[in-house]
Amino acid sequence: MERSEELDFFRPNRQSPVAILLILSRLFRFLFRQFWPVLLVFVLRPKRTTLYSLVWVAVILSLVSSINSILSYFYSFFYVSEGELILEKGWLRRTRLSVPLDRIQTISFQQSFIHRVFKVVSVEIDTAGSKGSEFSLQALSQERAHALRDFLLSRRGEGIQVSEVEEVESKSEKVLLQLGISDLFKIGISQNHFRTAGILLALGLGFLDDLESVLGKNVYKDLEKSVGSFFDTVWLLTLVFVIVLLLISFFGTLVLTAIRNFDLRFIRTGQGFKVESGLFAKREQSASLRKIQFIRWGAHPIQRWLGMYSLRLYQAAGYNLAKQKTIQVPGCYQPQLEAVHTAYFPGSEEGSWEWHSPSVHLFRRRFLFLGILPAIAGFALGLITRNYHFLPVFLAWGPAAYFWQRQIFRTFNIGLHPGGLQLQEGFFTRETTYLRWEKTQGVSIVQSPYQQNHQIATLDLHTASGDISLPYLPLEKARLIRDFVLFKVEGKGL
Amino acid sequence: MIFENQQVPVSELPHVEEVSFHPLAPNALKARLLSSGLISGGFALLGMSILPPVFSGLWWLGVLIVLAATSLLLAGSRWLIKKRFEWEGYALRSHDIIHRHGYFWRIQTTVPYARVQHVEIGQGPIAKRFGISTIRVFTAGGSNSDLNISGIIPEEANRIKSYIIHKTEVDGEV
Repeated sequence: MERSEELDFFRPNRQSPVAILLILSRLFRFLFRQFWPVLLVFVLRPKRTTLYSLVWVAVILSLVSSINSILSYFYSFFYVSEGELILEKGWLRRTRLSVPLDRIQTISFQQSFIHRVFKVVSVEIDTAGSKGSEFSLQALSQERAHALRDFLLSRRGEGIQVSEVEEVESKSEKVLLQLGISDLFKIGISQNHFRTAGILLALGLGFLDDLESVLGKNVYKDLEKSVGSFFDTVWLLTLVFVIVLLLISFFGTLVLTAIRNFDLRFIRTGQGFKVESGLFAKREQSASLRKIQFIRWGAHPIQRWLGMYSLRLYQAAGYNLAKQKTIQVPGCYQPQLEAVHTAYFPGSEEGSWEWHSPSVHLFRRRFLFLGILPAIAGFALGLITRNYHFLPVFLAWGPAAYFWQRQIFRTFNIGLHPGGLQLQEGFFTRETTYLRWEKTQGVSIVQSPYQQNHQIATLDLHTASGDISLPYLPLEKARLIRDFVLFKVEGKGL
Repeated sequence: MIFENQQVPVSELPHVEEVSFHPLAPNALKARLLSSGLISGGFALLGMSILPPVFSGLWWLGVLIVLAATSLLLAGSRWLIKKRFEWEGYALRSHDIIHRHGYFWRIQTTVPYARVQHVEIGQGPIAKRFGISTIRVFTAGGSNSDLNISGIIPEEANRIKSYIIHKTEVDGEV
């Protein structure tokens, strides 16, 4: 344990010297990514002298940046002064970043492989409401990081919200979920393997393109020649390719998810929830209950078969909504959902839910745009280009889209409760969303020309973590819900 | 009917539809027409510098096309701006502020004072000439729930701003 004066956050503190190493490693990774084709060529064809200059550029760049990062380490300090956390950094150009303590919203720790070796963590401090100030320290020893977190949490509520400080300080932690090997396997199986296949395909093609520009050879052609001679038809080649790709992506996602979610622990803390996970890079994310805007869980057919859900907690974002702080817990089971649900929305089991569905116009419009129009366009295109092979596909498209949209429409339900809103939606992936009325920042009623003609409207509820949209409600109902939400948000003051 | 289980019957909920919306200052329409005219003028200049030289021998045809396109653009935007101006409006109630805008797509956004983060008044160069300002109301809900009412007389904008700030303090305390 370090002595107490070393943990005095009112005086300028430095990061752990490991920060230099981290900055350098990031720098070299960046340089390597930029210059690897040059390096490759350099290794393969050392005679092309024009490349020497590029290599020199890389060497000089890395030298200069190394010196710069070492110097900036010695010029960086953080400290607390007059209710603000201040970070000063920079050597030639000094910058000063300050964050009011009571604006601090989340404090998260991350550990990469290097962090774990040196027993340090990177600290990220996020705020809301203020214009996108985000505060990050690359390396702090674990003790100091925890001391800093406790210090900031205890200081945060000073003066204004005393009750909250007590809540924050309560240390009770309860592990809601700890994923075992079989859970990891299940989560791995139920990931979206097609997405990985797509990424792999894109990466592979990009890589081949890079090689081509470097080697000056058409790699596709060579591949086709050498591989293609083994197969009689293109079809067989394609089939084998697709199967191999899917197999690789299946095992790839399996391994990646296992690494990412290794030893995942979902913890109920005094003030909210916390998720820790990771084999090589340890992640820790926390959300205080007060900052959770809405919660959503969903399950696609495979997950339903395994009895598993993936849960997302939508937290208040910084001013910039692109930087949303959403916490995702893959592989939750019913008990965890219930724990989160009752914590976020107490009393939702009592009192009656009133269920409403959108207007049937929603189904008509979606069927028109996703079913009829694409089918007609495809059919016409097939006829014009005299490519008759795909005509049956477009013929079948209409009825399939009808069935699909019908199911989506039927499963879309809006539940209203004195405390909040519940959405049930989806056909393949069934999702449930809960929003408490108090979390609404504003309400909009939006009407397209079609909606104006048919007396329907879309109601958007704006929260600090994005919008929740209730599409194609009868206008009267949309207005009624809006008036009710406003009454709920404003009524507290009455 | 919905919400019959509430202490407050639906009929007693305050309805947004009962409020009357303030139109924007008439100068706002002029300012918008002027800026759309400037944009159309820019397009015309750009078109004039490209099309007639490309058409070389038939340069007069190029000029004609640019003139026709510009007048179409001008007429179309003039019509849309007028229609939008007619529908746009704002209303201040005791607990929230309402802004409605759009023409084809009509949007009506309500922000409770209790959720307002801060209020800003701005004035661009054209708006300055016409003596109007823009009032922006920011919430934590991001750009979709922020209000941006452009075309209010500065004194009124200031009054609205201080009213909202006062109400935010009162409503936000509880």
